[in-house]
Amino acid sequence: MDIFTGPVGSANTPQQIHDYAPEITPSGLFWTMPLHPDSVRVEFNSARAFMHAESVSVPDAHDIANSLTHGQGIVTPTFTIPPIAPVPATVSFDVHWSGEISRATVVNEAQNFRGEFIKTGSTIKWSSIQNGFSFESEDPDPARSLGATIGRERNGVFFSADDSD
Amino acid sequence: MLPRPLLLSRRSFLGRHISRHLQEFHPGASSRNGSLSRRNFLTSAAGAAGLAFWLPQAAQAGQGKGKSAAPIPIPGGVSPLGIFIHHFPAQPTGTPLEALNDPSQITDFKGFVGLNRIRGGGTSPQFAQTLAFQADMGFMKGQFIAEDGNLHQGVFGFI
Repeated sequence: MDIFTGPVGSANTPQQIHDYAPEITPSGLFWTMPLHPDSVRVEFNSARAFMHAESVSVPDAHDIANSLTHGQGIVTPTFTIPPIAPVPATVSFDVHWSGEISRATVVNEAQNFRGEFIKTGSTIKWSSIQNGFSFESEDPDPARSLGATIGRERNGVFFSADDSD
Repeated sequence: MLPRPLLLSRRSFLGRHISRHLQEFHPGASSRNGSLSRRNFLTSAAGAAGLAFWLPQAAQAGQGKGKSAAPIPIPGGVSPLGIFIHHFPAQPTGTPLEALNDPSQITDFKGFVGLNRIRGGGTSPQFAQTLAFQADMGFMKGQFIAEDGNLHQGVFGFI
């Protein structure tokens, strides 16, 4: 969940001022954290899913470069992001996936996953709070979705498993 | 929620994988001829099948021989800013599903997944102008083989 000082619709790293995400674990697990079981509800046949959480503690890495480098910053040919240490923050969010656009069975042997997937619309209402800063997003707007998918999948060791297993 | 037992046949897919895992990584559970005895298999499989539904403390504290109950990342991914990450961003609405990348962050997983990308605006008392946001959000809800080699069930948010 990123915040930028640029115009709405933009997402330019040099203009980023907040980057809320769980830390990348030593194993490489990316921006993922356990949630309460009631946080996610899926109505797959109706092409709907909901994810809701309140006051989730996550670090604010300031920008994606510092999130990916654990606060080391980065130098690229076009811009430099200085090192910035993460600070504690909390986020709340209400995310919806709904409105079936297309549906397909996907078997991707190269990436070792398969399943039934649905392209949908999506909306979000979210907020953040930390020492010296708070943010509240606009009301949910389906026109803001750039891409959304829900699915029922198997990957890794389950890729070749029978449905009966 | 308390862990609940999952009944597994040694001939089932999971039973075969757990049996193979135990043979490879927990040889002490094997009988002298190298195969798992029924008692050892059932004992180990019962532990392996102890479902860690909503056990973040267990995931953080680690379980069994230094390996945690945390999920394992997918092997693939992309490299924003030249840094490899185990994640494929949500694809644009116009991209056909046949070209889908794995929306899960967790491998050895079966269950429901969701992933999206939304850009919008919002306000902050500390700024006069509207701020822009991008949210890449997702979830995984189902069963997975964790770092400890055991089958777990859980709900994870990609935030």
